[in-house]
Amino acid sequence: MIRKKKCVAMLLAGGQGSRLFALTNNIAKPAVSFGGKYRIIDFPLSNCVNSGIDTVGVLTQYQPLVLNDYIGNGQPWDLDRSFGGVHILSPYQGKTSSDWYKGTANAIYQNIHFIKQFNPDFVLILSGDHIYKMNYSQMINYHILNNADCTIAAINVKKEDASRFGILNTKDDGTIYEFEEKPKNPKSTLASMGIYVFSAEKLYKYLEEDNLDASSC
Amino acid sequence: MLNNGEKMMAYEFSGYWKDVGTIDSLYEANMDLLGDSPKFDITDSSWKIQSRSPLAPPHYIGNGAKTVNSIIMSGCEIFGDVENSVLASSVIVKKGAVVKNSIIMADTVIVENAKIEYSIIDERCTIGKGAVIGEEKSMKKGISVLGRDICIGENVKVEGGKIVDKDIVKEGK
Amino acid sequence: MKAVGIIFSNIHDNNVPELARIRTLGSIPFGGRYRLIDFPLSNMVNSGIDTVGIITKNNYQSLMDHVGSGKDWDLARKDGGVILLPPYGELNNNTLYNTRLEALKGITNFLFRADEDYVVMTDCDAVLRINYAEILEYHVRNHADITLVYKKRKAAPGELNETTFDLGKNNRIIGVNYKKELGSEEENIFTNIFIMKRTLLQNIVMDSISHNKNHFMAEVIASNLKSLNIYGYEHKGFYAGISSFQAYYDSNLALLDEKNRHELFGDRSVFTKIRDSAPTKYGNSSLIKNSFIADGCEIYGEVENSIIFRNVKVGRGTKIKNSIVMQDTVLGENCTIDCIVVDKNVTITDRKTLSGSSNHPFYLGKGIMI
Repeated sequence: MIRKKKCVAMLLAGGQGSRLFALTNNIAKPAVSFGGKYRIIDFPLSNCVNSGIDTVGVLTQYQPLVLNDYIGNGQPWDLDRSFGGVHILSPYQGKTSSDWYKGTANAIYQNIHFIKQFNPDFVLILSGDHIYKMNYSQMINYHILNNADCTIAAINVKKEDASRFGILNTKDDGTIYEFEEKPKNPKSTLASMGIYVFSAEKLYKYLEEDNLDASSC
Repeated sequence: MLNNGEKMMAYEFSGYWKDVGTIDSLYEANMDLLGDSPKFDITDSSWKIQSRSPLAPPHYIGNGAKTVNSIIMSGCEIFGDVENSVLASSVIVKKGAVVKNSIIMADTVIVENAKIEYSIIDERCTIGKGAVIGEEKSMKKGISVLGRDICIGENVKVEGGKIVDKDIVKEGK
Repeated sequence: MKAVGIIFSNIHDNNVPELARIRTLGSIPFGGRYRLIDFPLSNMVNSGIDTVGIITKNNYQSLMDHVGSGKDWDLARKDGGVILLPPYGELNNNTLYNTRLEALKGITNFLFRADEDYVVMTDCDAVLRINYAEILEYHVRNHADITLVYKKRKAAPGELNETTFDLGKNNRIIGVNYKKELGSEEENIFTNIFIMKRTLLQNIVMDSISHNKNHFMAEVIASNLKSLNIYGYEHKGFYAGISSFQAYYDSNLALLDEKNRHELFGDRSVFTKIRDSAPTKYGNSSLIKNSFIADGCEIYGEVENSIIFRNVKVGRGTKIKNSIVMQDTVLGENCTIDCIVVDKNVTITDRKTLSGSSNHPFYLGKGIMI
């Protein structure tokens, strides 16, 4: 029997947070202090652990030092494990010096070996930008029940706000038939939360194709 | 991926979800923690949010201090007024100082008679005697923001909505 | 000049029977967040001592739970670190030890296996910050065989059974007095902190075993004042002895004084088990005066001159004065508490009034519901 994990989470913590101005001059957005005691990244990290996901790859890019020090060996979140646990995945510096992350897909593709070593059935992709409490295992169960290849978490927003988000247009059974980025005339109010569950094999397939293609989202 | 006929599902989430990517939304999210029935309850022990906290003793609140509708972290020493605010670890608010409707991050010192209103102040700042940071929300100038390690001199005034990333030593700068 | 540490976690359990009934002295909660053992343990780590044996006897469950691997004091080491030394009873002898010397007889293995030159021994009966490395230097400079740390102070009300020293030239100890009751003047009162060469301690212990000696101060120190160089070291800083329930109460409230607080916690080097709670929240009608309050609390009432531990809930209209409230206790609305020490997990329902006095505080036991 080969040791494996049911799900590996990839946490995109690379944001510069330029709209937070002086607060992110020297630290990445997920390291910004919140609620007196926390940093923004505590929410996706704690959500993972509370959901039973103990393997998290954190992709950093902008000003990683404070965040790296803060996460350390993962002990405060109970993520200091010998198999799994939290791992900081630094920006991949390839042969060309401009090999920084070019979009989410590239960031994940650069670290595909990290994911594959755990041989997971599912990959959960999260951003480190939001404050929320969520049980990801419920979302994974929904993904399994519906035999989906990809599940995107979405939240209903106010009609007047909808044009600020990526909007999902769905059929009655919840299947997505269309995705519109910041649409001027949104057809629905279901906004993407930037949280994705992929069936692992499908994710690998598309990342590899995308990379060959060199033109992706 | 969608174009290839892969099955993509939307999982509907209903609950508090806040992007904290702008000053206003970060401020609102912090304020959502306050009050008798907060919009976002951080004290829920069934879904604990863990963090790496600095080791600090319990906080101390002196005689004549006011702590109303606020969150105060360990290591703080409060001798002034704190209202509707969120204070991180080891913040010192000296006598006569007033902090209202603001977020103060770790290790910042607010010296005697300084006034902080509708502001976000980052870590390890020092706000000098009698300095005034920010203006009331009703003045519609926005939230004042101070970056980390900044010193504000005595009696210096920082207007509402201003973003400060360098020391301000003298008045009128 | 390395030293190994020995902490007696339970001698003086009888000082505070109310609190020590369910836990050993070292486990007694103090200062809103700590336990008495955090002070000697932190002092040792901060002094460069990284092998510490903690001698225990009864009721040491909560102590084991608190200390764990020693990680929170940076004492979870492959080599050395913190070691709990449970009581060693002889096969055909059912009695556990009663005195310090008897306890030491049970840890000869620990002493012999250590490789440090010196040993620092201390109890858990006092709250103080002290640098053992400085005392060790003093010990070596004086060519002392044994150095005993004392504090020049008046006895606390109700303090009994202390050892005082008469000092001669250069602070050499020339007299040892065991006093049941103390007078009202300042005296050189022993703090139960000892420093000596490890080999000397070993010899003392082996000698006590062969000659059936049982009392350290009387049979070892007092009878060797001329044959050994025994020196006194004066501790000049904050010292709060937990010699009685009253002293426990007074020592906690002493933290409300800024000078004491800064001396103890100013450099953030008192370590304790890390327990995560949300930050403390204050409501619209909360009014706090001169109080020391831990994390995780929800306070909607008034707190004055008090020490509040973590996760305490104080309902609207409730007034807490001159009290010590331990963790997880819940107070309903419109209660009044004055001069009370409330143990953990107590529930006080609405409109209750409880009043002790500052020289006779009352105690509410763990888990009680009123």
